[in-house]
Amino acid sequence: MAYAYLFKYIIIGDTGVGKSCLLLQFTDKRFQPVHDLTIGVEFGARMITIDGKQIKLQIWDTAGQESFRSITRSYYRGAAGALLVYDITRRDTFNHLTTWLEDARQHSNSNMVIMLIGNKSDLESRREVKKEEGEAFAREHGLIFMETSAKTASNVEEAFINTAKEIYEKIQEGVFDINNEANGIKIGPQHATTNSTLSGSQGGQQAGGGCC
Amino acid sequence: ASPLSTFSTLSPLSLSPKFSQDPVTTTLGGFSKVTNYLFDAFRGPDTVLLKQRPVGEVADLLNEAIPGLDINQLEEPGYEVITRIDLGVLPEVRRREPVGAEEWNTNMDPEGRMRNISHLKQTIFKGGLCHVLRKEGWKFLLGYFPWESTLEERRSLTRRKTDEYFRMKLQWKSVSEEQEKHNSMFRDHRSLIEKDVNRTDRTNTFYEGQDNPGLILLHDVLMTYCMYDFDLGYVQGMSDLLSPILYVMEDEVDAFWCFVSFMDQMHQNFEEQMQGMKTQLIQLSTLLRLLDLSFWNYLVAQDSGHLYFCFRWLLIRFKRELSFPDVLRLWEVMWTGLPCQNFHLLVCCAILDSEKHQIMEEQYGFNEILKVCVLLCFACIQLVDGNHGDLAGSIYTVAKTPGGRQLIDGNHGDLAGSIYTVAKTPGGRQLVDC
Repeated sequence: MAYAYLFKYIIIGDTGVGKSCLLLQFTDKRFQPVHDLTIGVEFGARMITIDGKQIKLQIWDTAGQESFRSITRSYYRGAAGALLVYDITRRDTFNHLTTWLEDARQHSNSNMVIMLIGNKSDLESRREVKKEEGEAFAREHGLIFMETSAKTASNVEEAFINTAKEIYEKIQEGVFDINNEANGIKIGPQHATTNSTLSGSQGGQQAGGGCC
Repeated sequence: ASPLSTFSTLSPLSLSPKFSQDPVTTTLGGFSKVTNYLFDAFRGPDTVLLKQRPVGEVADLLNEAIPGLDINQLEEPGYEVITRIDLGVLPEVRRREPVGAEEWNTNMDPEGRMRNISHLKQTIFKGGLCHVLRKEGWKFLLGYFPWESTLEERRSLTRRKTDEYFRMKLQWKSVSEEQEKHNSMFRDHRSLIEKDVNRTDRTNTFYEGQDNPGLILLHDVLMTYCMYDFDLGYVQGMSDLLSPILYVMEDEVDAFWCFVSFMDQMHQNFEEQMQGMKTQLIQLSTLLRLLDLSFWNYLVAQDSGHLYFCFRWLLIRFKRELSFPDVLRLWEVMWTGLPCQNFHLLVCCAILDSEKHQIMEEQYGFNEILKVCVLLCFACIQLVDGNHGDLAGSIYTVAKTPGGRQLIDGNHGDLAGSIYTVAKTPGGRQLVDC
């Protein structure tokens, strides 16, 4: 299907926090508790609409296992957005956020939009991490924040779409050089005249205006 | 790791006659001046066409596409650039029927010792085992049962190993809550195992549903393995390696000891910092470079030369890329140790070769290449099933790679002699000899 832009996302965070379930809920609108654990990386994609434009999200769901990280890091390359996920019922998954964040920032581009996600909000009775703590962490590190439930689908759409909106705004502002694919953004076939000589902020502004 | 290690682990060694007679002259004379070696990618018919054509016709096509070894001495005086290598005619490959109970039993003496072991391994390599034979056969293939042991010796071994298993099982079973509170490593392993048991092959009847006894077995064997090898403990991927073994053994103790043997082979994949995985990826890269330089160059240009997209294939030996029955077949074939220790790397090359056309034709970049390789499962099933009957397809694909053709070598009967092939290629001989 034709799209105006393609954004590359990564989903990162400890093992078992619900990364694959979030992806499946977003791409297939279903919750599947008995999927196979992720080894390396899995892949998903979905089309969304922002500002009347078709945007394809290409999503890389990475394995949470600590020892794989030296290899899974290589998949971060050129991501425009990241969902950094923890499990609100497991304090340790929240405690590890700093490491994940450092890792993500170090191995991807500096403009990458990061959405912090406290998943499993349906398990209120087992909550170990207060919503306020998530908000505070996000504020401190300049992230967007949401609590989601991959099981009930609560806020799942919003998490993916709000991240895309933020990326889209950055394109409009000219922060992203959309002609450089290392930024995780690709101009799609649906896009109006793509002038390959455009670059930097100029390219961003012009691209934002064009659509078929 | 040096590229050398790739080839030092490739066995059995059968070098070209010229090489064995006069290795120094052959090597120095033929290859020290070689600064560059190039294998043209197959031109002409695309992969799909190749798959559908009769084998004889394919051979003709290949022969046409690769007329012979061209050596260009003009580019730089004193240096040779090998651009083509003569691959000859692609021989027909036929998989054998799986080894059945009757054939197995004829290879057993009255005391229960297995005879004609190398022949038996060959036949297993060529056709696998009938499913009913796996429960017994895998114990030998994995090295839990020595081939030369008598029935009586195996009975006593089993008794001993059963005691040993339950002694280790009791160790983790008897850890109190208080103890666990003060042992974070144990706690982490346990909680990860609990999570992963619920996420391993749950669509397989042996593990599906809520209270399936298969889940408890999977859990208990993994926990006991933690006690057996606490340095390693549990790392994700190990449940994938255990699951087919447990499915076949249907017995906790047998599955455990077979798993231990399998882990002896796979241990390095799971060690900290993934050093074993990185070494294998380097080896694979070296091999691919040798077999298909143009494709290798393409991958490097796309920032994909590290081959990280093969990570899962290697970590759990194609467990996720193939259907469950295909995994059982491929693993038992690999456990014969034939034709070489790094056979799985050749299988990787074969898979890559089957995807190469699409990757290069469509000019895939870093992300697209990764995507193709992650979503590979369907292609793979086709590859293994195909019209060729189980593994023949993938071996057939190996055959399509320039060096790989030599793997299916009439003189060797089957796939033996990958080192022979490698040795015949310019860089390979250098590597083998150095």
